[in-house]
Amino acid sequence: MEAAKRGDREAFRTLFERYHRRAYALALGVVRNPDDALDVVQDAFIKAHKYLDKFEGNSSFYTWLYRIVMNLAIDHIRKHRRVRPVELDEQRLEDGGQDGDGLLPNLLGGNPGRALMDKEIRQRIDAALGELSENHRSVLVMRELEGLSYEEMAQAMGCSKGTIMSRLFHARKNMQRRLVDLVDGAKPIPEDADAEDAAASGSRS
Amino acid sequence: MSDPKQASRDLDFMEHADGELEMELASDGRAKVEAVKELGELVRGRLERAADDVPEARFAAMWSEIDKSISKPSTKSATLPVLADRAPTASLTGAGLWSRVGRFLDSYRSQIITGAISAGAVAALALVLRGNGGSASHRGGSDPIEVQRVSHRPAEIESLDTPGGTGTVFNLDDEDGSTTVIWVTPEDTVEGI
Repeated sequence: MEAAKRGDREAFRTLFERYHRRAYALALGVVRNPDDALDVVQDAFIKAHKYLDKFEGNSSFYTWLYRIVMNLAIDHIRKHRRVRPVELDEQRLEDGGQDGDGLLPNLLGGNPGRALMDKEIRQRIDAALGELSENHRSVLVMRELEGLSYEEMAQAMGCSKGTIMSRLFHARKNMQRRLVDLVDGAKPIPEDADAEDAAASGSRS
Repeated sequence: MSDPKQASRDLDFMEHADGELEMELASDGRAKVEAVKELGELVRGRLERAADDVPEARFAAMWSEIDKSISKPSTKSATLPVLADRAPTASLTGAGLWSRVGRFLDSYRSQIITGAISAGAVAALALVLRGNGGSASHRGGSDPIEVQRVSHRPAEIESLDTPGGTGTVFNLDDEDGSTTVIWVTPEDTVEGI
């Protein structure tokens, strides 16, 4: 890290080699398009290099890098937002309204590794992620890929902890709803819930 | 309407699954916590696998672009303060190199190729050259003193030897300059040109 800060290109390349795929996974989770994700990662490393002398090492290099990736990815989807009809229930989620029931108690038989061997399941996960709103997807990806705390996500997204909880709760619930038919004998999920209100109030934030 | 208490309990279960809340779990709570964790593993596993599936050549080409960009004389701006360890804000502007190449190839496929080209052929995208002086790989739009030198002169390819495959050269001109794409398609992957 110190060598990279002194301008050692090979040292910076080592950082690139160590983190580029992880950064790509994060970018892909947010922007969804593989080519766009590559652009985000490329720009993130260039920007990281440009401001490397400002990095004081209070956090790990990757923690710093992922923030750059997230900033660029979120900026990218805002600039390239496709005009698409907003689903009614998605709008309700964003507005703090009601949608399907609470969390489901099971999914895919408890063996994610085996489930991911199935191409159809991978495609369904991709589609389900793609159908989430940008805010919901960003929070879910940050949490699941990087393991950020609610407080860290709130800082990264510039919103309250309660909002993060709300987005995460509904992102997970929507993912479950969209994948539930992959579970044998799953029942349709009734349409209503009050969790959003409790989450959005941020009572524990 | 569902029970608000149940909804609140589900939030507690989620917080517990995320390590944000300590609590005793009954059987229904344990099942939901496990489901939350399983969903997380699915999302994480899916994205990590997608990242693993990207050919190393694409990242090697990316490093080449990064290396070219960071090798240029410094354009750091003293007028653009960045707080310590605070990530610089986004300045990704316009469509990036990879997305422009991808969209171009999508267009090319739709117009010329009637059959399908396998993923292997697309993965054989061997080399991407920026035109002389082009600097589209670094688009520091927020930096007021950064000057982008633009050239519309494509790279000149004098000869191309692609044993066992077909080589095609594209020149992409745009507002950022020009990009030359050398697309090598192994013979056994062409199905319908």
